[in-house]
Amino acid sequence: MRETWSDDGGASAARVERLLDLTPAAASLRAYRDAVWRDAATDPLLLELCRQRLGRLLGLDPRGMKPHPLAVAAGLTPELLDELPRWPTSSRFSERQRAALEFAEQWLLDPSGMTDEHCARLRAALGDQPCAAFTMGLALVEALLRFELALATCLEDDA
Amino acid sequence: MSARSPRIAPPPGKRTFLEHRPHLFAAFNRFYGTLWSHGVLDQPTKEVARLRNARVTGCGICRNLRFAGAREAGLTEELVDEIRDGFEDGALPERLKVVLRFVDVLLGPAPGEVDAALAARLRAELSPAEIVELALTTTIAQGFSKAAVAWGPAPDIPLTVVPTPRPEGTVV
Repeated sequence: MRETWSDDGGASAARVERLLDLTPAAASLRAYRDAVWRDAATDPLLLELCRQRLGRLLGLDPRGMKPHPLAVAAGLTPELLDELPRWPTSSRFSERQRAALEFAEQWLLDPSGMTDEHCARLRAALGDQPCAAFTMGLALVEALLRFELALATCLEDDA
Repeated sequence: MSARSPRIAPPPGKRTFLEHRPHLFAAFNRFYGTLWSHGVLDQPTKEVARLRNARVTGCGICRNLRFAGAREAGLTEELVDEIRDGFEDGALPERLKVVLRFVDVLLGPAPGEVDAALAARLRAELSPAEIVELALTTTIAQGFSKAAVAWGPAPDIPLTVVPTPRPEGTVV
């Protein structure tokens, strides 16, 4: 059975948006998020692959994780997302994508365990400007995944 | 302090490698400054969450930074010292202990596992808008602590009080 996004996968995202509306910082957060995804140095497919991987590791149901439209426009398919748990060995992923997914997993699990080699592989794969955009993107998508998960319990009646 | 060089250098004359994308870094600063200076949650509570993250994530920079607004609003170093493992037995007000229980789940491996009792306690202490800001402050701070740690080094710095971030400013 396919594990990737379903047609109603946007419900959770809409709920997050309603929660964000509770803070005066919502507009500036959305502007920052939009800037990250649309930045010329951001590869939206790469960032979405990492978002999906982090979401699954943190406990989100992948069927509720609607991908960013820019990632879909860049070629993200349900078949590729189905293959995501097998990224270290699957031939569907490029070396560049593997370097980013490796970095993202280490980032999630233990950033202090990041090695010179992890960082060197990512820099070699992306370059310095895309590394800066990717790092800001990774930080933001993880933050919003954690936000979504934690507030599903705390504020289930407020969105 | 680590003698290791950063794994990625800032652009010439800049302080962080994130400034390789200056307009993104500026957009981040506008957001973070708005969250801190124009939000609904009081600054000491945000600072407690930020410092808990600094200790959990192991960022030597974040751990010793203090935002001036929280200090001016009463967050003393004695209270900061209580933001440690074992805080339940310490002298923090109960409201801040509830906040730290939530923050620890939020920063941990399973952020969705906020149990019903903790959710109820949090809602008794904070409004929904305040909870939203607490969660955002914590998770955004975690992301930028991770950036400092992952791309290293994130050396221990002396205790340093800096202005609270504002939309027109820059996070130190």
